[in-house]
Amino acid sequence: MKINLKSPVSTAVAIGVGIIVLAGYFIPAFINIRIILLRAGLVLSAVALLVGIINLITVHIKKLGADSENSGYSLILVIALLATLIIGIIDMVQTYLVGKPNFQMTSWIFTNIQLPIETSLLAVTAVSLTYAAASILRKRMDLFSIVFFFVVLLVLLGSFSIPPATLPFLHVIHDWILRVPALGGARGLLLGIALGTITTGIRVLMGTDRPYGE
Amino acid sequence: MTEILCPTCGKPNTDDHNFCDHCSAPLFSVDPLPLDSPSLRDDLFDNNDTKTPVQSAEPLDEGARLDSLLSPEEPLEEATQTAESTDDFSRLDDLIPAPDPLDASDTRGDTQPVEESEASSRLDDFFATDDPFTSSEEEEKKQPDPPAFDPFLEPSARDELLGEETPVEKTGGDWQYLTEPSAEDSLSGKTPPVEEPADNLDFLSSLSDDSTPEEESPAQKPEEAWDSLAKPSTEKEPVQKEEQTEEQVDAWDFLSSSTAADEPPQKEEPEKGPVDEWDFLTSPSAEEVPVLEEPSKGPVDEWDFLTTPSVEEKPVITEQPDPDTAGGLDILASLDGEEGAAVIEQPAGEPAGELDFLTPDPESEPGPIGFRPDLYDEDEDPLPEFGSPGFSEDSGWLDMLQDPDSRKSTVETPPEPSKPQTDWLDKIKRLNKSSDMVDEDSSFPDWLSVSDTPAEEISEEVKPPEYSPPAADSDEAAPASDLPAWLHIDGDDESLNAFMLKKDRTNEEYKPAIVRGITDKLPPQEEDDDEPATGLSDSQQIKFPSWAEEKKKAAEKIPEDLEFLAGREDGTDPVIDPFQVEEEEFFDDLFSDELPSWLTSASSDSVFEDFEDELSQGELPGWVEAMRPVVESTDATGLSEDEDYIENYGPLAGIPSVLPAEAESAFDPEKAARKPLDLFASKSHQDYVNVLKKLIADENKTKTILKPAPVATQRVLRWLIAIIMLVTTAGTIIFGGVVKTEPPTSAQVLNSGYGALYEQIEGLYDGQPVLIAFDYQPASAGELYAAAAGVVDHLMKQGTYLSFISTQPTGPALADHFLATTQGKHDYIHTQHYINLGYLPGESAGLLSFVVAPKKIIPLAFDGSNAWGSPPLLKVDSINDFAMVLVITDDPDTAKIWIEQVGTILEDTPLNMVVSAQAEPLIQPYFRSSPQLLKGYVSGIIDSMNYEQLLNRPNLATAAWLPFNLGIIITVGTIFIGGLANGVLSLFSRHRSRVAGDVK
Repeated sequence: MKINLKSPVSTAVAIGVGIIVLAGYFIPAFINIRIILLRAGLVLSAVALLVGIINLITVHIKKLGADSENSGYSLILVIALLATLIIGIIDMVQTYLVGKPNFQMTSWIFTNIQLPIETSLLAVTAVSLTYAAASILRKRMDLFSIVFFFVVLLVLLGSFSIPPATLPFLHVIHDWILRVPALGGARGLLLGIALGTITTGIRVLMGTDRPYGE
Repeated sequence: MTEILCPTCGKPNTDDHNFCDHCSAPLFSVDPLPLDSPSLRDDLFDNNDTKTPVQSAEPLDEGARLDSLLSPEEPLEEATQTAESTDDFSRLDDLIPAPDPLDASDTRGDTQPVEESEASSRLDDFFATDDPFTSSEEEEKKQPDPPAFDPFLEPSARDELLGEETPVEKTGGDWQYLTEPSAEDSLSGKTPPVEEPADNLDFLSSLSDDSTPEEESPAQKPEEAWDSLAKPSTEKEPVQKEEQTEEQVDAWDFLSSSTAADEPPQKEEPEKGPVDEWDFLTSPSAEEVPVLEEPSKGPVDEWDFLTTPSVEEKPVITEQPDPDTAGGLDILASLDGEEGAAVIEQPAGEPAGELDFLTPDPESEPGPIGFRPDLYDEDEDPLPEFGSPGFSEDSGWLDMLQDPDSRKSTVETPPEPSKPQTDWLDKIKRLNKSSDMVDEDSSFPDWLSVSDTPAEEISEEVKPPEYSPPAADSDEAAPASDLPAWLHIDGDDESLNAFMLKKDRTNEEYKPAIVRGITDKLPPQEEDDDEPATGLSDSQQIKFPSWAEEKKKAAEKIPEDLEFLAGREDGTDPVIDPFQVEEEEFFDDLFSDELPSWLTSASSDSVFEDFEDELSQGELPGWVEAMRPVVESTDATGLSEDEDYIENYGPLAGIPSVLPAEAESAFDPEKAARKPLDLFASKSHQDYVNVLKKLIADENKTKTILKPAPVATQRVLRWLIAIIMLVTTAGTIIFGGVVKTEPPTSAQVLNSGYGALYEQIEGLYDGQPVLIAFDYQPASAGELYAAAAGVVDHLMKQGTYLSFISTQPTGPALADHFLATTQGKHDYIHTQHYINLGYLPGESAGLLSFVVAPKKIIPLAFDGSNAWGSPPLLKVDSINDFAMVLVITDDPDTAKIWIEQVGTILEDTPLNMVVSAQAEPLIQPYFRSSPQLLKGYVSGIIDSMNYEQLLNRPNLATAAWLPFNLGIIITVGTIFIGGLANGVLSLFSRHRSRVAGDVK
């Protein structure tokens, strides 16, 4: 059965729940309803995570069948996912049966596979960012590029804190950059984000924006 | 049954027919009845019931039938009476063929002869004399005149054909009363009684009155035309006497005029055929002999009396009336016996007007029937001269009623192409096309004549009333014609041309130059003699064509197209011909779709011929152009209030109060008109044009796709950077040691976030629950492990119970790993010293829910054990029961969510964070704001290093400080050097591109 998310029912549910949760902040009578709806939302988000995982599996399983260039990667992903899933289930059963947590295999996978990989990727990002900063003047030679270039250098030099090589004025510059332009920019950014969030919420409550489906 | 030869066509017909079967001509001639035959007139118009048609048991012959129509009984009585007395109507005996004694006795009986005699006598009165008012003596004088010409048959031919006919047939039988009174009748003393002038038709009433002798007055000049009808032929009297008993179809002879020329044939009347009676209808003429020698005539010949001779025949007619072409009533002129030569002569110089018939020639034959010359006043009431040549000449309109075929045969027309005179419309068209071929046909009245017949030629009697234009308006020389002034085209064609030119010239300055150049070639504007209207400025004055103005110019040359309206002045003899048009072009214009020439002639062709080679003018017709008002001045100040704008260009030029074609605010017509049309293109425009041209030209060119140069330099540089950084940091870590740094100063600690956090944790004591949220990605574990290790170590040092939670799925694992790797020396036991609550889904909503009801949201620990019954959470019911909330995150959004969802609800529980250096700018505002939503924070390794120095417990940050700094140095060095190099290279490359572009 195909559910048309465009139907007015989904829109009405979204708008009604949003209004109730919002009203729970101001009206004490709606607190309990708000808590119930929030708990339902927590469950739905967890289920959504599970649905996402299932969708991921199906997509990559489909890629395994089709002749695509990245079918190997899809195979590795599916294997890794299934392996991790199975190992996790085993650890949970053992924990339930043993009475104490025993997630050694899952921890080992996490500790020895996932964590180093992601950490390494972040470290490579550092190198990429360094190269990007070094080549910014070659791609775009303008005022903002030059300013960015020198600000990066100053901040990095201000972070350097080896007493013999430490330059006091660099720390001052560093502190000033962080507290004045950065802080101001950050404040403006946060304000924009806040306003956008409020606007998006109003649009959802009014039914104008329907992020839940087209 | 005998056969009768038709006098017209000569074909045989049976004797019982009165008209020819082939040509429908009467077979029997009828002598003209005396005009002044009151008895006949009375008989015709008397309401006496006694005058009823004859009702005879036996069928009547043709003559008897006529009798029956007029007066059936009286003819019987009158016939007996008139049989004894000489009757002018004895001529009618000629009409009535002499009945065959055998036939008469068989068919008609004894009474018929009596009837015939009565009829003849009755008609004799009618045809006794041309002038009913003439005396008998005059009639007697005229009697010797030859009988009327028989239009239906030549006398000689008649005699030949009808020589064997019985007297009855020849005499016409019952039609004797219609016969012209013959000389015999005149000798017998039968004279038509003199009666008062009566209606012309009274002659018909005299048919029934045979008792009173009719006196025939001698034909007088005005009455000659009528005399032929009324005058009996004395010569026929003896014949009529013989013909009284003979009734034939000769009754038609009454319509023929008796002339002297008819004498020879009249003498032979006894032997005449049935046509002899019609002799009275023919006009007497001296040319009768040659006329009689003519071959058999056409079927229409009998009706020649209705024809009017053409104008060209006037010279002929004036001398001797052509019996064939004689006027319609020339037969009447022949009744008096006068020669046809005595024909009315038109006054010299007078055209044959259409009403000439109303003006009888005194010298012509006797007048019409019933005409009393003594009572007739020619001046007062001009009567048509039926028997006069003039009448015959002017009665050309009657020719139209004649069959063209017969007309052709009878009319002696000059050798010209025959024209269908009955089709007047076609004739007009033909005449319009070729005015040279205009034939002054006498059949057309003067008012339709095409020739330059001046009006003076028109006889005064028939001249129509002249139009007298008002004297006040006739400033100019009025044309000689009587046309109204508004029809006078006093050379306005030229004025109209001038007007058109002038109008163009006034709008010249509003026209583009290309058009203006054309208008410059226009001939000089003619000055207008008309004075401007008083009270109006030049700008307000609107010029109209001169023909529309009251004041007219002096008479100028009349265009040829309209000369016919102005009348002819060349003195030619106009011909009143209703079906002839003087100007062919005029009628051509009427019947054509185009405008008449006299309207379009305003625009001079010679002027606009120059435009053909250059810009073409508008397609507005000339008459529309003529209607356009001309604004002489471009100054609109003189305009009235209502006229604030006058269109100066386009079809509506010159018309005021017109909505401008373009917005006035956006378009100034004056400036636009003066603005040159030359486009000015700047250098940049030209460059754009060149570029466009190049783009268009390059589309058709084939382009070679060059292989992109491998990006090797970039990969080498990256590897180089990576190697350098790796070697430096690795070597520093492996071979380096701990670098001692100076502790931060108090000033630095007071205003820092790590200082505030240090203070807060320093205030915690043993057994206080602290909630720690591990909301960072595993990728940031290296930095955050170094940053958070000192803080968590300080918390553990304080003896606090730790509760771990995470909004990330990997959070619980990271917590355990963190705790195992960094805090191993503290021997914290799960569910004893710390509890791991696990994963909290829903991000902001989950946090909000956890903040409101933490036990309900996370009832169990990450391992499934009872979390809220364990010592770390034994005293915790809400979020505010925690002594501190510490969030370890690398994402600023997560930090923001914790601050927004939890920080706003927390009351006394401080919220602190350990963030990555990349998130510090976004959480610093929360620390630096008032109220502080964030109580303290540690950002990256640097703050952690300082924190550890404050704590004086070196940890990971202290250990990573040297590599960290070397990495910074290397990074800065790489960025600096690479940036400079790339910057210089880019400058050089731009310079090269510019040089190369300039060269291209």
